[in-house]
Amino acid sequence: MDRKKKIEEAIEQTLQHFESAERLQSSPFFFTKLQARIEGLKRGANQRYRSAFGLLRFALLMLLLIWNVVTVTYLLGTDQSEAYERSEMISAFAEVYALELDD
Amino acid sequence: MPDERLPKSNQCEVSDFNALVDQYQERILNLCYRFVNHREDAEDVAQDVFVEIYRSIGNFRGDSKLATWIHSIAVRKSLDFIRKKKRKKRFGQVKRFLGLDEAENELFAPRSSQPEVVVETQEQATILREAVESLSEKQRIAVILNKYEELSYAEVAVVMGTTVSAVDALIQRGMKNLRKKLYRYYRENLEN
Repeated sequence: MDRKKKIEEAIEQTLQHFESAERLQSSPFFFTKLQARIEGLKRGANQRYRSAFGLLRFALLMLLLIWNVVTVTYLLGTDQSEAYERSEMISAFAEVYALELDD
Repeated sequence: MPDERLPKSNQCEVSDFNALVDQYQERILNLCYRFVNHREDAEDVAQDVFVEIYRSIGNFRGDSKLATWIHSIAVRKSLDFIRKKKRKKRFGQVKRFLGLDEAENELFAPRSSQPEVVVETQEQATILREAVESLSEKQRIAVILNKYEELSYAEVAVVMGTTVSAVDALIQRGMKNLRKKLYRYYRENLEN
């Protein structure tokens, strides 16, 4: 019985340590380290913004280039087909009126 | 805890953030310490907490007290740290097996090699800490917040995202389990 009482006393004493638990003091460098991390975060965010903007600029430039190539190709193709149609019309006209063409 | 709410703008100016850190750093450091039981780790986790606060202060809706919100972040970061550490240890040497839910498990023997030596008072704090660490996760959180950090049941409920009655049940069961573990421990290690 005494032993059981002793055990219960030890348990109660142990549970008292909830109230008297060791409290840590923060290190004097805690705030400095935290500031450095926050600054690193800001720098990282700026870098991400700059690289995203740079990527967008590059993408727009490529789009413009592709558009120019497509346009020029289309225009050149159109000129050639118009020239061909004109020549066909001239030949047909000459044939109808039995005209001679200079080759 | 006093009612602290952010201004409606939810903007975190540098001076506001610095004041916030100044006000909460020790409280958060000690809360993290209760979970990770290691000073340097507690400092690292506390730093993570404040970085998270800095990043997500705009998401704070003001529907709870600022202190409660900060405690929620601290608990979450502490648990993340513990899980990460466990994953790293998984293939390493197993030092001890932590029980799940209400499973029983042993506490460390006193550092003295003679079990009949009376446990010194200064070791009782360590024994209590280890007993708390062996509780299930939810019981551990509730007991740490209420017993160590002296949050009310209502505040614990907000931090844990549960009801007051659930917190009451967790703390009752947690304390019951603590007594069981301590009883077993002292039965084996206390001198006659």
